[in-house]
Amino acid sequence: MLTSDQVTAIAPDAASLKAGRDLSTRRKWQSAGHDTEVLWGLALGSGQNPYQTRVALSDLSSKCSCPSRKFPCKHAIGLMLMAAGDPVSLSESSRPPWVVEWMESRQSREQKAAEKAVNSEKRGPVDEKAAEKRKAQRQERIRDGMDLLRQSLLDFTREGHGSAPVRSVQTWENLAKRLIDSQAPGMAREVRAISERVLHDPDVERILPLELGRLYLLVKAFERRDELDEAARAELLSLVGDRNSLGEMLPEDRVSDDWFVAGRELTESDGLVTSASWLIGRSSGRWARVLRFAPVSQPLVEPLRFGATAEAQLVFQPGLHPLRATVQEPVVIKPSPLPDCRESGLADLLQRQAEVLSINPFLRSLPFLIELRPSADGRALVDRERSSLPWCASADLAMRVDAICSGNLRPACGEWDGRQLRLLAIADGPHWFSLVPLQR
Amino acid sequence: MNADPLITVALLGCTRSPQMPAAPDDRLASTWEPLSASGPEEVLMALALTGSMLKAGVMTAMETGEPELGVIETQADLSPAAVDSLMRLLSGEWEEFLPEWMELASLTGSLVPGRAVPDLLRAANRKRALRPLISRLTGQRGQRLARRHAEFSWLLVHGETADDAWDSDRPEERLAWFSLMRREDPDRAREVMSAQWAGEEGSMRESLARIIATSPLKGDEAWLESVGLKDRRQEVREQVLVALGQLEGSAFRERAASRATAILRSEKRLFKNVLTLNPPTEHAPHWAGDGVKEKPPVGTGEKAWWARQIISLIPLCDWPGMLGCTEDELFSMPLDPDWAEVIVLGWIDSAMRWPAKAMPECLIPMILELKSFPAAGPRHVIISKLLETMEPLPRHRMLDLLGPQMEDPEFVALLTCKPEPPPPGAGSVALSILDRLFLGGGTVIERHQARLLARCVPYPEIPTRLIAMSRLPDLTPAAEEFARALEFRQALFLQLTSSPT
Repeated sequence: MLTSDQVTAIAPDAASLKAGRDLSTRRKWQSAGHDTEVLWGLALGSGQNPYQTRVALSDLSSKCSCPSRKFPCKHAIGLMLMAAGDPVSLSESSRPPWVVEWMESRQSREQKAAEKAVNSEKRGPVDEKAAEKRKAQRQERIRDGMDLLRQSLLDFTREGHGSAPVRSVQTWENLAKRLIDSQAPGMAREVRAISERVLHDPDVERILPLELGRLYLLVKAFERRDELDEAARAELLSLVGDRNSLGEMLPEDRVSDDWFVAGRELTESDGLVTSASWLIGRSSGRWARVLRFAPVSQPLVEPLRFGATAEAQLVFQPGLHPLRATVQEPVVIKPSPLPDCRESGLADLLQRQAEVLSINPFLRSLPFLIELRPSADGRALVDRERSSLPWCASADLAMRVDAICSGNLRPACGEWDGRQLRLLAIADGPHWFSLVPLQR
Repeated sequence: MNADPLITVALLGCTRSPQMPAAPDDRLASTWEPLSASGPEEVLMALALTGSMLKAGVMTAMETGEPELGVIETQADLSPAAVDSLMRLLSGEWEEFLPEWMELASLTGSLVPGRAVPDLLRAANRKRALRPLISRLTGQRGQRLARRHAEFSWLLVHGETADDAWDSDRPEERLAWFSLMRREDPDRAREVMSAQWAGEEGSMRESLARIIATSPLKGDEAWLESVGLKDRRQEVREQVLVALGQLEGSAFRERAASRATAILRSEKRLFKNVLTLNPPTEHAPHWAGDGVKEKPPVGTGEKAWWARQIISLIPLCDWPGMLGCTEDELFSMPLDPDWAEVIVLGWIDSAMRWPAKAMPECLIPMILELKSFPAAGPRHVIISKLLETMEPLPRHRMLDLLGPQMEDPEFVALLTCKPEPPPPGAGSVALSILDRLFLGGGTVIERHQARLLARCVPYPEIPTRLIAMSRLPDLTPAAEEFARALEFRQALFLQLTSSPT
């Protein structure tokens, strides 16, 4: 059945969630029911007729006869919260005709989509020559974009990284836009990180030149990608954002395990919500980064519940140190205690970092699950051996983590970027607690 | 300027720094060699190499100093559902019910887990009324946080107090020590306080005087008279008056009684005793030292002002003895028609100063019967303050008596001053008034009032009211809010009484 965390995560905004909570009481519904596939209810509203609300449990998509343009509407959220908190109150078990009709229309749409996909696979490319031409055009655009970036980096280094244009946010924003036009969205993200993060870093004098060196290395490696092995090529294509070429060079890396959803972060950019989850395999000890996207106007449904363990097969994207993965259906959520920490301390993390960097010099950050506590001054995290690394946290977050640990070591998940640790989640007793908001 | 020569070259630009610096580490020498040309490409590649080297070569630092002993709580944490509700309350949703949540949670014997402790302490920073239960709910974790963050040091008052806390810089720790010492060795407490009194800040002096006023001792009298009454801060002097007024046989009480009996008497007129007032004709200079100010506020006559203050310096429960009458007779006696308002104002001032000595069972009905209420503040606020001094059962029986005699808006305002469910054996009249207001309509009630009034319904009676409300075709916005608040309270009750911790 549903959990309130899942419902909270798909609410379009805080106001809708609050309104939905108010509606999550049986008093607000003329009738309500559920079966294994769908929830439904007649919501008492200000109109003459109650609103017909239905929610499909497979993907939490919903339909309501209310005039709201928000999706899901407060009635659907209320119905889902009621199902999560008080399922007994959804007492009806036989679907009313308007629910049957909706489920049938969903089924028929899904069938049509599946047929369409099968047909398009059967047909193959409509015009191979045209496809080849499009591919060549795309690669030429990417090459142009990378040339522009290379030339800009050389010019900036001639003039000095302390010069005004290099310190201007606009310079990097413009460059990022040009890279988007060049169909290199990955490189655009790398460049935008300079304007959004590096230029605002208190240590910008030192960090900016090192970041530009890393960018240049990426540009040069991309130029020479044909000389590199498949894994390195895949890594570079992924970093640049040429996903179409990536699809042509698989071998698939599939891992089945019980995956603990250790950390999750929601970000919003350019009208797109991204949910980035860190999963760790309980048996394999392998880390995986699973991304999901949705337009801001639509719900982002996460079948992998934060803090839960999911039995699933992951397909890792090829690369030098594969982390990015996609989840294969079916996913079975299992009740399990918190996993043991694989690494005994921060020295193990640094060792892993050095090893991974020797394989993948482009790596930005590594995930970890280690027993830690804040240092006395709250500026570092300390492990069992009393070794410490710098910790990046606001005063509020530092106090919360300090209150949770209260001087004790606690399993914590986060990222190490080579300079600072960043915490995403921590064990508060038996409860796995997110230190970043899980709701939009 | 940056200490790393390569970073310096990068910042200044290749055109200004023709010389490529040497490799930062011998192990990089061979890789560095082809980069000696100092062109932009070489500088960028050297930066990439340096960046990777720095990332891969990070070392941990060892923590210095004695390791802290971690807190180990013996009590279990509250259930996740209860903590989720707490987080909602702390985020501002249904914040009126935070005190109720805290009361219910404190009965479970479980603790608030660490993730919610900072927000709960911050809420108590803003609302002092929440503080009494905080220590029980946050346990050792709360104490530890309070020791590390000065903003929560008030919590240390409820926790362990160090022997040398009086010499610390934190006012809360010093007050905690003083409260403890007042109980254990009051003479020593007074001695150390007197020694530093002159150098204390006004707010500290006020807090110390407030502690003394909660339980004054005979041994305090000399200090209160000689130092406390002469303090330069008005709030300190007021607390000293409160303390002295409670000391049986004190010189202050004798002076106050002689002033009061000189102006207020019970006289026989026709067949009844009447309370007559002969206000003083002049202000004696030594009165000011006892808190009787000479200059009246604008719009008040001098005699009335002096008389009001003189009456207010007598705890109400002393009057029957001073006038030779019973409590009932005191408040049923007709008042001097020329000075009735002054007498009532003096009594109300006294009741606000010593509410526990105000005989609310007699004073409240008298206040209610007054044809015109004097300008002493809203009547329901004064009645509410008097009700607070009563035990729950008589308090709610009094509310049952007041309800039918007050207009609905005033009764609603009174109930919302301190909303709470009645104990068994009382409250039926007040609850029936609420039912009439929410199920029948008529009186305009604000939504925030509806939320507070929902706190007046005992838990066992919530379901029947919700059923009754769900049968109504339409609810007013206030009734809707009332129903939602009842539902939320019901959920809290179930979470904190039936869920496993």
